Amino acid sequence: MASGSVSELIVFIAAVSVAAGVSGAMVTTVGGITNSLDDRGESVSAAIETDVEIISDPGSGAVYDSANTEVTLLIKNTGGRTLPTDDTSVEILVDGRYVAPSAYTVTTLGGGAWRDGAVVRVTVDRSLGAGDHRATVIVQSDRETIGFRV
Amino acid sequence: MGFSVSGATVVISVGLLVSAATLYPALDRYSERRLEAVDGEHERALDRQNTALGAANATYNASTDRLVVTAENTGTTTLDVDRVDLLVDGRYRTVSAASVTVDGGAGTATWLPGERLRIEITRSTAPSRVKIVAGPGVAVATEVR
Repeated sequence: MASGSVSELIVFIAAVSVAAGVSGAMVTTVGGITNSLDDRGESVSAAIETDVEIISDPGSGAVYDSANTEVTLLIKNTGGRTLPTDDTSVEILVDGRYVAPSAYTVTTLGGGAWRDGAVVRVTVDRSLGAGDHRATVIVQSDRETIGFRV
Repeated sequence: MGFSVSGATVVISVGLLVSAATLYPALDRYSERRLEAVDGEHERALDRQNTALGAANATYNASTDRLVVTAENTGTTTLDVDRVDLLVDGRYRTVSAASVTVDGGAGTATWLPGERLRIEITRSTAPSRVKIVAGPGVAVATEVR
């Protein structure tokens, strides 16, 4: 009789221990999922709030400066948040070719942060031949392209 | 055996409850954050859709070195004067508040539908083309006469 109770107690402790392990693993996993969801929510809302427009005037011929072999793009923040201007946030393609961060500079006109409504000037050091060209600006998730002629 | 199953069930149930209590607020926050961002995007798209600029007019007076650019807000949204950008010959030109008037009045920050914005700047050489960009990115360009 006593041995039966002892063995029942052992089975009980074992069952509760296994259940506690499973519960602990479940709570830890769900905690990880929760953190990932928070991060994902932040990046999704940032992507939706990011919107830029290239406001350069290709009709003026000022997009490409042949004397200095520079492409100048004016980009307006038309989204709902302040954008960073570092080279991991702003990327440039000229005629579909990636431009290394060392070959372009981003300057906020009027100084300060690139808040909504503000304009930045991107100066790309790139030699272009005569003809039609395209420049693409990628700011985080948003992509804008402008066509111009040299 | 009965006690073991009951004990394990209670422990698993507590784990499930704790997990649900942790997960639900996170899902709720995610959904709310996304909905807020989408709402903002729709509002900006609507503003852009309702924004329109009439034909701009630009004149340069060589004797006074004055360039005068005007444009009418032909849309249905109110635009911010300090978010208007001016490009002269494709180059960005900083516009001071003092050089801008709306329907003849200075010192206003809003450009209402039907009103005409006037920008007057000093420039030593005659430009050939100007472009005005309003807040939502809507633009109008014209040749200088």
